[in-house]
Amino acid sequence: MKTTKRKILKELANAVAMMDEARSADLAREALKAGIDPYEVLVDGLCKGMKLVGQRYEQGEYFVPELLLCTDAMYAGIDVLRPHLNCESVGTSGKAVIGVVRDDIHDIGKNLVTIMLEAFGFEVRDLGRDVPLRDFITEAIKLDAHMICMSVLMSTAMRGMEEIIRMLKAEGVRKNFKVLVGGGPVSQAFATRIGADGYATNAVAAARKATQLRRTSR
Amino acid sequence: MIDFAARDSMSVKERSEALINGAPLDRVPFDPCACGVAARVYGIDRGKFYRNPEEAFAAGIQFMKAYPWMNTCPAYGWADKGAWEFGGKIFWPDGDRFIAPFSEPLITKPSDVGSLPDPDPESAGMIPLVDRFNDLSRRHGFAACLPGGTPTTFSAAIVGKVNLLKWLIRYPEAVHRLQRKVTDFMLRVAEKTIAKFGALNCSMECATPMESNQLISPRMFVEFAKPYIREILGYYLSKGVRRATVHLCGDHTANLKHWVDIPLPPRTVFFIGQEMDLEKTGQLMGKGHILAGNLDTGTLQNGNSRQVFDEARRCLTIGKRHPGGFILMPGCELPPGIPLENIEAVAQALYEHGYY
Repeated sequence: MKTTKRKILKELANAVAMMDEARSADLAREALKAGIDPYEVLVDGLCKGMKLVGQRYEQGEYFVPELLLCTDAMYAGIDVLRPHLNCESVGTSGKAVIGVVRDDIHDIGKNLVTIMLEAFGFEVRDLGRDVPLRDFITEAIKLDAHMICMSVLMSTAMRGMEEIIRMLKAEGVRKNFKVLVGGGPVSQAFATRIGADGYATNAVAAARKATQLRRTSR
Repeated sequence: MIDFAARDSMSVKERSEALINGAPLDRVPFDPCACGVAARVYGIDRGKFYRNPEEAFAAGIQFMKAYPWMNTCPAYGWADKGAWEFGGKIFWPDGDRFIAPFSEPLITKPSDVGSLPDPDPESAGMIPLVDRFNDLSRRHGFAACLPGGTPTTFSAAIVGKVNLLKWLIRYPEAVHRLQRKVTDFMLRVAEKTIAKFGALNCSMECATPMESNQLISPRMFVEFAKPYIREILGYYLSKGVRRATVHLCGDHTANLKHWVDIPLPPRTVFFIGQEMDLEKTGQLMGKGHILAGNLDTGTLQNGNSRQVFDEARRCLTIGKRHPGGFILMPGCELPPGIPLENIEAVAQALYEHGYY
């Protein structure tokens, strides 16, 4: 049983990393049939596959198209597991709201961070692109989020990131959330200057940073 | 206000011509690549600017007068092109938004590529607006613009960026069919524009955001983008177009070697993003082409005057060494919300470090 379980989970991770949606769904079904805990299938099969994908992306072996298709493969497996997952028992690494700040419509980077956050076990509410500044705070409070993640590609929209942190402070809720920023023109120096808690250069690094920040969040 | 006139020994026009001809210059030219800032200085919002080419042109003229030390001329256009031209909807940045026009994907299934129309090169999407702008440009002695962007940019707008990226692997034939359709459209517009204004009075800017290695691999660039870029630029060259700018938007380091056999006129301007290494890119481009760009737009928008000065000095120090010539430019469009004192900081750096 142990060997079978290890084999199925390994193959499942590989199916995700090889962008194979059909195989991912089949293996998820096979795992359930073999009596493997759906939560284990999720974490040690599908999410593990996405972490492998993240490594290949960071090493320059995979680019965004591969990353997107691996994500589809991961979700094909999740769709099979969904009816069997008890949401209460699954637990999460934390909750995050994410969006592209107002006056910017470039959302590929934000979408990748969303995917990687989910692969790292976060519950994510994706607010989309060109998001009004107020919505980041309102939705974070509504979700009882631990983290607010903001992305931009246009340098003009960077001002919105700073403004959101100012609003959080003015409303006395800054300590309730870790703030993670990223995107083309954003730098560590900028993140430090505006008082963000974290900055990352790519989606995988962002998920790692979020995990690290979560350890010190409320 | 810095008095460039006291030190300049060339007019803006003389400096531009000398650069194109590979002749010595008094100093590095600064091209701001400014649409949004021109609108702001002129006092209109970007919705009005982009909807009305006449207003955009007037804004460009006023911007030239406000900043006579810049090598600039009226500019008009936006990056998210293609969907409107093929029958989709455009969204205008009305209400003082700091954003350019944008569209939503027109189709989302590979099987729908065959049903896309063949848009009219006279009336589709932004074409009539660009044509009106070109009329004004020619009347004032500036070049008319040929269709900018690349087929991949258009295709991404038509099917959505995420879909296009996935299709590169899942449906490569559909991507080629789409690229073919878009390329044919761009060639029809180019033919009409060249026939109207004459090749020597036209310039082309080939902006390449979707080809960035932050999105796709060099292998994908070679397979899906390069053949169509080659075809369009080859057409321009064969028709006698002599003024060209290639905007490598984002990081194209791994693609650079593949530009070597793309047909370009001599002294093409390679306008590069801040993500690229100015020195190494210059070395790869060689002295036959002009190097431009690289000023970090995040610093321009959010840095203080000292940081902007240092950033401009960095670019000038490296750029001046490029034997093909250098134009100081932002890594992409000048941020529309840039603090005006940061423009002065660029001027200060140019004054102190930009002279040869």
